[in-house]
Amino acid sequence: MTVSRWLALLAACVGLSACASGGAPMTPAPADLKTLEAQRAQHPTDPALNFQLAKAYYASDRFADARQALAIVLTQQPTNDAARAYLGFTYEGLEQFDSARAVYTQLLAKQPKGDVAKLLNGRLALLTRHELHAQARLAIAREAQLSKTPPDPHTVAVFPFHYTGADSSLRPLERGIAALMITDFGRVHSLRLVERERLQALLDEMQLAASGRVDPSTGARSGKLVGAGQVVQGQFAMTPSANLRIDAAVVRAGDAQVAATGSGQDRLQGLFDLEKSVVFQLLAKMNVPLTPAESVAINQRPTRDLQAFLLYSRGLEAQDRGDFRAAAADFQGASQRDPGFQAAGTQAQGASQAAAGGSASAPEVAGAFGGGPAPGPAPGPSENTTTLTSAINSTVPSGAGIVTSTPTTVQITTPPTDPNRICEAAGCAGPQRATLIGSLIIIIQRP
Amino acid sequence: MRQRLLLLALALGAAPVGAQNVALYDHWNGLTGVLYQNYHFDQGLVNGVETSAQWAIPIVAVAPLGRGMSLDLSTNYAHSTVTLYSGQSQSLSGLTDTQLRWLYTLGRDRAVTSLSVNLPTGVHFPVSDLSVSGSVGSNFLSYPVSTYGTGFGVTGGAAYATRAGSWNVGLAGSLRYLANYKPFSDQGVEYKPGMEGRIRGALDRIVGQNGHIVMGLTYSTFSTDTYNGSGTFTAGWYDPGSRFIGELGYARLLGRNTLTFAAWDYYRLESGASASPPPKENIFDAELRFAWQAAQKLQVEPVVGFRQWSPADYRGGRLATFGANLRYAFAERFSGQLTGRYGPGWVYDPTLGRADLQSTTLYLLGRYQY
Repeated sequence: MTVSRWLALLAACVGLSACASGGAPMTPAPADLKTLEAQRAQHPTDPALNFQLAKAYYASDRFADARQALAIVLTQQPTNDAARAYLGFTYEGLEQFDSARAVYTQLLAKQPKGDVAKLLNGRLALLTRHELHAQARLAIAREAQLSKTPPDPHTVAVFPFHYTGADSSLRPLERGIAALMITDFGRVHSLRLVERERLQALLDEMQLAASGRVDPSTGARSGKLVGAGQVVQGQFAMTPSANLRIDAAVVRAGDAQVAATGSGQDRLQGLFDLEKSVVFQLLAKMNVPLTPAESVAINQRPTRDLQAFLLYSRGLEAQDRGDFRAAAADFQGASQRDPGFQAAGTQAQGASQAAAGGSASAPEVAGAFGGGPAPGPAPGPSENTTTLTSAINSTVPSGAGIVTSTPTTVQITTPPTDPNRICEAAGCAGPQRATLIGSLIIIIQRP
Repeated sequence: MRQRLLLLALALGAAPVGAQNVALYDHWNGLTGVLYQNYHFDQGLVNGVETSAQWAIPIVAVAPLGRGMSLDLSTNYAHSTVTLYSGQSQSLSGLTDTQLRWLYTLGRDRAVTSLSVNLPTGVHFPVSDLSVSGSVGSNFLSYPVSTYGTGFGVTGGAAYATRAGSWNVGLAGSLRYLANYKPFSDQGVEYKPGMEGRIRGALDRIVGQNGHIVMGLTYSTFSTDTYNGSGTFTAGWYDPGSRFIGELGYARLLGRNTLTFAAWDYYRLESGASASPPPKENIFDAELRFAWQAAQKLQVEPVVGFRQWSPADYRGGRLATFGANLRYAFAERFSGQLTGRYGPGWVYDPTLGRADLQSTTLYLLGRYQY
């Protein structure tokens, strides 16, 4: 072989390694499951194998199996944050939201870099939503049992107000007015408020949210399901004289009777004053005594910018339908119009995180921890590890090649291409050829 | 040795075991056992060989180093014996050379570079033992160890794997340098091996839900060896001849069991030599295995094999094998494999004609992984 041929060969080798950084790695496909499972049967505690298997299980929606495989990984590699991130997603798949929350919180405690923290916070925000819906489903399933338990009379749930007008631009105020009332009732120390999101999840599950029409009996039923002894319901519309009118009622969950009513009308710009007026009416008729400090607190306006409040209300609407991107944009718009509108700023941050977390897949979040969006092919046959191992073991042979042999990797034990040179040169390789040694010696012996 | 490797690992900042590791070998591994191979010739060959046997003790250690590197070491102690029908026998015992191989992964599961050193720890024997050494150097009638001591060598290589559609594509190349060495302990012959280059291309993919197919082709080419000395070997040269190995394998999962077909074909071009060059030859080997998961920790794998040797100058030989592999997981980190094979066959002796033979193989291997 000429020098140029050797150089060409060497260049080819160098060229191959130079290509290494290109291309995107891959995640194991569900089709790889059987192969990976068989490999794990050979190496039941191999963390890399179990991690790949867990990913394939996750991709196949086999969350319980994924959790089991991840448990093996984390037993051996407790610092494997990529696997832990997968575990969080797996718990979500299993609807074990509290466990998922614990996993994400644990990861956040490690103070990951900004992007990762944002993703995790987003998952936590989504988890809250998932948890609320799961709890709502559970409550509905246990309705018969819950209805026997008298709800706490000091707990108040505020339903979205029903808009009866035609101007769709005002419809977001259904949630906005309810949010204002929740804030105001929440200022009263003797009352406990059901979070807006919790009640919304229940309404979603009861499929009442779309109609928006909730009569006292339905309100009472819902109140019992969320443990609220009193339910605030109401409606609003523009009057022919271009005033905004709000009507509200407090329904006792125990007997579905109206315990208090309040109403008023004002020009649209006076929305906040009107809402405060209705709240004070209701509290008075509910015989809830207010301290001077509570009265002052209730009188505080979150914003005086009606447009900002409309944007905020639109954000709530988008958030309730799970469109966190739109919600974030609306909340940010509200916050920009009125930087002092704290609720809008807080919601903007939460929705933005939820939007990021919601769009992130398990491989992406795991990848952010260094595992790579798809930390690479599994050691299974469909993945590059086997291909790569075979390639290097064939060209740079080593006894270590036998270490990777498993029955499910197609093991082919080829003959050594490294010749027994002195014997080949002497033409004696093999017992049958060894017979020629004598004659060979005679042939080449120096005279 | 392990202590030294540990120190080396620490010096290189080895990741703690279990940390995320992109190395191809990311666990400590130790493997040893006993390998035994015996060929018994019924009629004897022209030199009256009755049996040619070898037992070997392989020693393999693999150490992960850092996040993307590993170091592996492999060597053997082997004892080879040739017994003649006349009752005479000749043996050769000793260590083989030691391969120390360093692997560095570039991009997870994408590419790996390798540097391997051949340490000349192998025994160098008197020229009178050439018949024993030569008897185990056959590719047709293979032995656990085919070469004892050579010289210091360095092999550099790189491999790259990528995906093309549903196929995995693997490409690799290596270049090997082997320094001059003196093969015989009692004669001053100096052997200067030529360089060796290898290129390999391979494809594999999942077939359906349960199948996996592998195809590969390895090409080896050599520059000319020369030797010089006095005594048995005088000045001469040897061109080993380019070699091709084609591989084809298919594994199919059947429940918890695996059915595997594996075949290779070894083709060597005609060699050139100042003495009597070996002719070109072809060896075809195929086997069918069925890995049956007999119990949670036990796998039994019956094997049926066939091998055909076709040299250019005369009828070669044929070998059929029947046997089984037994794999057992003694503990979480310790597993063992017992292999037993027996098979009839024949080789063609240019003088006496067909000589029947029986092949017996027994392997007992234990592996510890940490």
